[in-house]
Amino acid sequence: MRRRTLTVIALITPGMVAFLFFNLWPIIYSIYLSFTNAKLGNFPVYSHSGVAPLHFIGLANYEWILSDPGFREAFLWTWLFVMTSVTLKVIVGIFLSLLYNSKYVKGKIIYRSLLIIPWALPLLFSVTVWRFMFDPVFGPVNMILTSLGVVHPPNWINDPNWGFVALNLIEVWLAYPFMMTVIIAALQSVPSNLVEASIIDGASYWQRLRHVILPIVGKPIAFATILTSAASFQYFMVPYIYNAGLFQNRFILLYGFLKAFGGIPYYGRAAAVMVIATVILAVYMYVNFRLTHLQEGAKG
Amino acid sequence: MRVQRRFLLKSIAMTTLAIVVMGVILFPVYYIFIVSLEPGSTLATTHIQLTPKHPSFNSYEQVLFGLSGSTINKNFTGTVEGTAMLKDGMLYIEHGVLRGVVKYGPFIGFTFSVPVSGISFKLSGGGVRQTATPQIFSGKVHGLVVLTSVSSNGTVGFGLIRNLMLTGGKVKSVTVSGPLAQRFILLRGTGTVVHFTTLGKFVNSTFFHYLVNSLILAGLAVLLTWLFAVPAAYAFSRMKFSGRGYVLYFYLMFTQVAGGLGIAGLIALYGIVVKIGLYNKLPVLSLIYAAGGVPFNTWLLKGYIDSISPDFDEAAIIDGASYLQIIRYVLLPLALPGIATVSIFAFIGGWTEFILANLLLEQSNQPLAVWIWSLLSGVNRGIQWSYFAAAALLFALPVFILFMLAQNYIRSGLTLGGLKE
Repeated sequence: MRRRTLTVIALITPGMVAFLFFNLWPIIYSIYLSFTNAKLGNFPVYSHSGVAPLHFIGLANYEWILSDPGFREAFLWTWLFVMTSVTLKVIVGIFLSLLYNSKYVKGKIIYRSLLIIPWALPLLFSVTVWRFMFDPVFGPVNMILTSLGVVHPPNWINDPNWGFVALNLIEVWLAYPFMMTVIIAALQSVPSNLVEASIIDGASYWQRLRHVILPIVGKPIAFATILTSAASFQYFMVPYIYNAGLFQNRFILLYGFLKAFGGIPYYGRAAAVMVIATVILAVYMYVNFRLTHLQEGAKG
Repeated sequence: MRVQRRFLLKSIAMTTLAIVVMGVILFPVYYIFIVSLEPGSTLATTHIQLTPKHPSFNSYEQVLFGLSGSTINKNFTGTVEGTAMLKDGMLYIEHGVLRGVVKYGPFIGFTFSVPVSGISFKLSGGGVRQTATPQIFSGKVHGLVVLTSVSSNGTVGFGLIRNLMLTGGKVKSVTVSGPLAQRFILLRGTGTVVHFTTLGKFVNSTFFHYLVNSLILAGLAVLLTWLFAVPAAYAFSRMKFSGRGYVLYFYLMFTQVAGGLGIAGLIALYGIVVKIGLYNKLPVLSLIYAAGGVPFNTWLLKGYIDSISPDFDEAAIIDGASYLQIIRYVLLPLALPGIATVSIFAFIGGWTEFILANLLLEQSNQPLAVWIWSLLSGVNRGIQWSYFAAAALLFALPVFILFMLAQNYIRSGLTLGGLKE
């Protein structure tokens, strides 16, 4: 029995130690940092350049955050983005799933496998492609708008509001393969005799969708929605690559990141922002599991 | 008949809609490909080109074979021929040509020829004769060639030959050898010709420099992922121990928000890495990537091993095999597809990550992803969209191929959640 325990320890230790050290420890260390005055000069190493050494300053960072209009703005805009992008993602996902699962569409297997392409491309590539699409001079989006008669097409890169619209479109483009795959899999699990029975009973397409199909696919869609809304809340890479400076007061993770690594580094304040984001993410994880009962899989 | 016709019409309408929608969705990827085929200067700014007007692979050539302008410092072998005199244990070359070949493995990288005059070699060994008049001379040499600011058309700003050694030279049936008496030969002025082969250009391009870093980074991440995920997945799948459920539960929860937590922990991680002196170390980054993938990879592989019947390893236990032997000879061969999938994810992760790589590495160690990202900010300021498009497509291609190979697992593993997100 002893030998067995030792074997288990030997097998799971390498991965777990690496994970704890490089993933969990930084989170705990962030919590500590958020209560200190860490900034350029005393963090990561003390440089003796007139900056006070790293020390505990209590809740000062959190007080500063709550009084900072930039943070409030970022916090609100992040939630606004979660609402707008998730709504769009779910609508587009359902629409595409219904379209590419329709019995009237010929060759849908081919279209579906082609539509998976955006998923297969690295995020860095996809966002740079979109950065080009929305380029005010070379970008085809504004070329199309101009040819349609729009005299002053919007500046998608540097205007914060149009940039926000662009980010929503990009997020939909990035996430639809995931939504589509989940929803199509769910649609295909709807028993065909149920659908046939409703047709015989004279139900219209919309009635069928509303009363037969949606109740069955509702749960997977809810599952995908929660996952994708967590992804929207963690939105960082896309605005960072697209135009980091423009969106620094729009997305909470980007706001925290740029407090630490953009301009004047205030690591302590940035860590406090990250801790707040982590708490919200933890709530997400909890809600996710309550609603989808994924934990049943963990027991298996 | 009426029903059939209605079905047909509806079918045509819906299929058309499906194709149009797909076209709109995939248009950006198609367009960036078109842009990469268009030489930068001809890119239109007023209307959309749906097909390239002047299709060419210029941009790809520039990315792959455009010399980076950095210093080349390589050993070479070659010959020196001309007229020479022997005097006082020295070989004086009056006029001659030095030809050198630089090889990368068995392949020729570039060749060069330099006119030399007034150089001399200190001869070693006895039996040295004097010659009164210049004689025809030829010999073999090897040494070190240094080229700086090599431009994309192969011209060299400045060059040096050092550590030149003459071996097997012949002056009138007298064999001579020895080191160069001067400290170096300048590779400047008229007559110097440097010719790069395709391979030589590729190896000395900016792209290649970053490619090597990317391959090391991603390759090492794959190796470490094996170390971290394979044994643990076996333990979680086959053994019962206390705390097992909690750890698995935690791992699964973590995969949902891994991306966000990764960013949230970035400041502290940066501090930790700098503090323990691991800044600018390529393998450390691989370690961080592999560590971040532990929950997801362990889960994926555990699921795969679960699907392998335990009869196989029970039979092996009865035969007296140890755990390591079971893993090595029973489970590894059976779990190979699962391990391949995990490896693909680890590779893609290491290949595409750029935030940490940018933060924790100096330029000489940075991978392709950081380069692509930094190119983006240089676009319209000296870097053309077509060049950028070609570089970005070359960067994306391996990921695309690998993802397509693994996509069946991705679809079936969707319940793990948050893959792309």
